[in-house]
Amino acid sequence: MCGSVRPGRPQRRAAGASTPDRIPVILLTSRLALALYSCLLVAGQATAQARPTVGVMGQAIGIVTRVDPIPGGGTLTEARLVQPLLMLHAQALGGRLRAVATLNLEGQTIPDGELTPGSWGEGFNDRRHPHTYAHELMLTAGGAVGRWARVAVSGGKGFVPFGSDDPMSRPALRYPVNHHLAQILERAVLMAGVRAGPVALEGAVFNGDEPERPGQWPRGDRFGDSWAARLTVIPVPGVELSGSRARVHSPEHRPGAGTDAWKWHVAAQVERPLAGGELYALGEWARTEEGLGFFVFRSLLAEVAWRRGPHRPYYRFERSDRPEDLRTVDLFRSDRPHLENAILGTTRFTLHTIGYLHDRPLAAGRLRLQPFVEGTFGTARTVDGGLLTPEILYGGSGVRSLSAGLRISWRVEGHRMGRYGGLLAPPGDVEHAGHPE
Amino acid sequence: MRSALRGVLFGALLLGACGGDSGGPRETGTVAPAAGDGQTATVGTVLQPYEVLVNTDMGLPRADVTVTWALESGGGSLSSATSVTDAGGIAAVTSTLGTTAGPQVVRASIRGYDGSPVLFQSTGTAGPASGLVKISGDNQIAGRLQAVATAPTVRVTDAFGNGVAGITVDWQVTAGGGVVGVASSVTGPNGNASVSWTLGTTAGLNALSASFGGGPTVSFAATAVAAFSIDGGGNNVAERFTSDLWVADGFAYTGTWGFRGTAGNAVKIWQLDPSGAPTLVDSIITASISTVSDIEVSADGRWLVFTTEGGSQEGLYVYELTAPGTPVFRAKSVNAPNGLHTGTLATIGGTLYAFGAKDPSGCALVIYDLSQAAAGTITTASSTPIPDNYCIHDTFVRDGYAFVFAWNEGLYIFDVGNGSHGGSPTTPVQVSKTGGFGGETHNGWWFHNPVTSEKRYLFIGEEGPGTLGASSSGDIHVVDVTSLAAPVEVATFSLAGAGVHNFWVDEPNQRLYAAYYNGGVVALDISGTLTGNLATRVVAQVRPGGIAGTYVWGVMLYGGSLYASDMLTGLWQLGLP
Repeated sequence: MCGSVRPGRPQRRAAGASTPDRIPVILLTSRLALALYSCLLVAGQATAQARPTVGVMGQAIGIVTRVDPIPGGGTLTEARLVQPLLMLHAQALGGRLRAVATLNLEGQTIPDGELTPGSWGEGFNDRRHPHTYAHELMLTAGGAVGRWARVAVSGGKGFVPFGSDDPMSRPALRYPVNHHLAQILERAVLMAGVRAGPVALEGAVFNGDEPERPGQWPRGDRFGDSWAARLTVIPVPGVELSGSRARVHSPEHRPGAGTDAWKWHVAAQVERPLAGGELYALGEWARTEEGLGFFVFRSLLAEVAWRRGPHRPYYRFERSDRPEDLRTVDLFRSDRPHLENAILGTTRFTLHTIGYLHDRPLAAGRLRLQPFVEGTFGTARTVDGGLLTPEILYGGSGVRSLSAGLRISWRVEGHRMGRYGGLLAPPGDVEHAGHPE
Repeated sequence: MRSALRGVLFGALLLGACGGDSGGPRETGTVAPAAGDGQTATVGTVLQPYEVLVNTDMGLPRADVTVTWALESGGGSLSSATSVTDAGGIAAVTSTLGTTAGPQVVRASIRGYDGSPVLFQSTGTAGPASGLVKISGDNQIAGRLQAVATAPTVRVTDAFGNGVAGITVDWQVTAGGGVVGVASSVTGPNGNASVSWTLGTTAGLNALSASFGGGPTVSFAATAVAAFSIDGGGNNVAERFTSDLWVADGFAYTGTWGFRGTAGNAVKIWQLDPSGAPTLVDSIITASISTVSDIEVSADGRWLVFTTEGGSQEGLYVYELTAPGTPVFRAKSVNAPNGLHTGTLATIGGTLYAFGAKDPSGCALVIYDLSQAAAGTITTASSTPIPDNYCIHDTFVRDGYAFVFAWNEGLYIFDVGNGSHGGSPTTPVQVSKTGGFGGETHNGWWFHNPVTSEKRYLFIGEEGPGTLGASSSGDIHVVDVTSLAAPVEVATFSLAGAGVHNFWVDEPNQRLYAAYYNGGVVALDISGTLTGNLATRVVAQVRPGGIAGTYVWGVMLYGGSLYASDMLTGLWQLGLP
C-alpha cells in the first residue's frame, strides 16, 4: 500500500471535502489502524537509507489591542503575548514517517483569552479562548504509490480534515469570528488520505467534544463519535478548491448530551506570483446546523494579501453568525457547560480587517521580526431578535478594534497548520512530500 | 482524419475572423429608436411595432441593413429574429407581451453601428380579474371576541395568476358570529387585500368568506376558544429580563434573569391591590449572581426561598417573611462554581426542605434542611448524583415522592419520605427512572384530581431548542403514573410555533395552565381520560405582551387570577377564561 517515494515536479498546496453519509465508525477505525500499521511495516522494510531529521520552530506575538465597544459598553485596551508556539517537526524513513508537535502556551500568556471582535468557543465569546497546550501531536505514515498517487494515515491530537487552514498560519493576526465554523481542531483524530493526480480525499473519525480549558485532553470515551471528510482539487499549481463535510456530536457539551452539529465548508485558495510579489487569496463559505436544523449559522469570508520584499499589506472581509449564550457575571464569558438547547440569539458580524506587516528577516531568513498594525471595523446585528442583542450587550452595533505589535518567529514561515499527510504536494514530489505543510 | 479536423478548424478560424458578415470592410453607421418604446398594455397583448432608424455615418438613411432582434427580459415573443431596413432606413419587429406582468425589454442590434444595441421597454399589466386565492390567515385559533393573530389575506388574480390591483373584495362572516374590520377592501399593487377578523362570542368554528364582483369565493376558518382577560400588570420590568414567580398572601415575587443592561440579580416584590393588580414595592438585590432561577414561598407563608445561578454567590437563599411582603435575610448556601437551576419546597415529617437542582456540573438532587434557617444555618440532608445528560432541571415533590426532571436522562422518581420504598430526605430511594418524553425533560406536575380522586397523570414539560425571547419548541407529555415504578406516556399536546415551559394546574377545575414562551399562556382541559393528541383540549390562549412581544416563563393561580411572568414584559394579572 505504501510504496517508495519517487522524484517529481514540485507543487504547492491543496484543501477539500466530500459528502459521505454516516460512516460506520468502528469499521473505519479498525481499517485506519490496519492501514497505519501496514504503512509503517512496509516503510520500515523499504527504507534504511534516509536519516531521521528534526526541525524546531517557534513564534510569539506581542500585541496591544484596543476594542470598542466591549460587553457592557465602553472601550478596553490590553497588551498581551499571543500565539506563543513551539513546534517540532520530525521525519524518518525518507519522509514516510512524520511527527508534528505544537506546544501552545496561550494557557499561560492569555488565560482569560484575548480581545478579538466576535470570537467564540470554549466558553469565551468576546475574547478568543486560549488553545490547549498540546495543540498538535500527530504522527503520519505514508508515501507515494507509483507516480500518480500518494496515501497517508495520521493519528494523534490535532486538526480534523475539515475547512481551511488554522487562522494562525494566515495573514491577519486577529482571529476571524468563523474560527469554529471553518475549522475543527484539538481533537483526538484518526485520518486517512489519498492523493491521485490533482485530487486529494481525506476522511477522519474523532471526538466531538471541544476542549474547555488549556490543560484538557479529548475524552477517550467519545473518540469516534464524529466524522469529517474533505475533498481537495488542485487544478493548477497554486490553486486549491476544497469542500468539507462533518458531523460533530455534541461539541459544546463535553459529556455528550448536546445536539449534533452538521457542518459544510467550501473554499478556494490561490497563491501565485503577481506584480513582482506573491499573491495570497482565500474565499470560503461555511454553514453549521445544530438542534436538528433549529439553528443555522453561516459564514462568508474573503481575504487577500500581497507580499513584495518586506511589505505585506492584507485585507479580510467576513460576515459570520455567532450564537449568543447566557453570560456569566463576567460578561466576557458565557455559561459553560450548557444546560439546554436554547440560545439567546444570533449575532451577525460583518467585519473588515485591514493590516500591514513589515517583514525583517535575520539569520538567513530563519529568524523574522515582523512589526504590524491591524484594524477592524464593521457591525454586529441580531439576526433573529433573541434576548441578547448587540444593543443590549454592547450598547450599539458598531465594532472597532485596533492592534499593533511585533511577531517574532523562528523558521515558521510558510508553515500551514492543520494539514497532515503530505497530500498537498504532488504524488511524485519527494522533496515536499517529506515536509510538513 | 487528422487533416480533415485541421481543415474544419481552419475554416472556423476564418469565419471567426470575418465575423459572419459578408466580407470586406465592415459597414459603419448609426442606429436609433424610431418608434414603439415605452408602451403599456395587458399581458399577452400584441404591441405596436418597435422600429429603429439606421443611418450612414453621413446621416442618410441606409437600406438593406439586417437588424437582429432579441428578447432581453420579461418573456413574450417577437414576430421575427431579424428584419431589414427599408429605403427610409427603418426596420421593425412586432412584439407580443408575456403572461407575467412587468417590464418586457427587447433588444435591436447591428454589429459595428454606433448606438447599437437599442433597447425598447414596455410594460405588461395584469388582465381582467378572474381568480381569487388565499394568501394567509386560514385555520387559526383565537380567544372568543378576540382578533385572529394573522389578518386573512387574499389575492385577486388575472387568468395568468398576476395580482390585479384596485379590485374591491367583499368580506362576510359566514359562521360563528364574529365581525370584520371593514366590509370590503381594495387590492393593493400586488393584488392583495386583507381584513382584521374578531371572532364571535361562542367557542367553536368561525368562518369568513371573501369574494369580488363576478369572481369566485374563498373561505377562511378559525376556532374560537374561551378567552383570558388581561386584568392588570404588564410592561412593568424594563431593565431586566423576568424569570420565575410566586404569589402568596397578597404579594407576588418575581425573579430576574441574565443580562439586559443590568444583571438578573433582583427579586421584585409586588403588592396586589384589592383587584389583584400588582404594584412594585421593593426589590432584593443579591450581589455576584446573574440569575434568580426559581422562587417559592413556603405553604405557611413564613419563608421566601429562591435559587440563583451565575457568579461567585450562586446557590440557595432563604428569607423570612416577618410580614407578607417583608423579607428578612436569614441564610444562604453558596454552591459556586455550580448553581441551582430550580428549588422546590416541601414539608416532610414536619420539617421544611428545599429540593435543589444542582448544575451545570456535579449534577445532583440536593435536599436542604431548612429547619435551622432562622438561626442562619442550612444543612444538606442529602445529595443524590444525577448523570450529566444536561443535568437536572426541576423537581416536583408531593406525598413524599420527588419527581426529578433530568433532561435526556428523563424522569426519576424518588421516595423521599412516603415510606413505600423506605426513603427519606436524608436517604432518597429511587423508585424508577424512565427515559423518553421527547428527551429534554424539563419540569412536571403530578395531578391529583379531586373530582375522580385519581393520581394517575403526571404532566411533563419538554423544553426543545429555541432562541430565548423569540422562538421555542417542545411539547407537553402526559404520563400515566398509576404505577410509579413504570410510568407510561399516554398523551401529548403540541402548540404550533412555540414550546412549553413551566405550568400550574387548577386541580379542582381540572385545568392546566402552561407558560408557552412566545406562545403566551395556554389553558388545557385535563378532565376525564387523557389519551393521544390533546389538540382539542385547548380552552384558551393569550399572548399578554402581543404577538411579537411575549415570552412567558411561568404561571401561577392565586385569588381567582392567573399570574404570568413574562421575560420581556414583566408580571401580568390575567382573568381566567
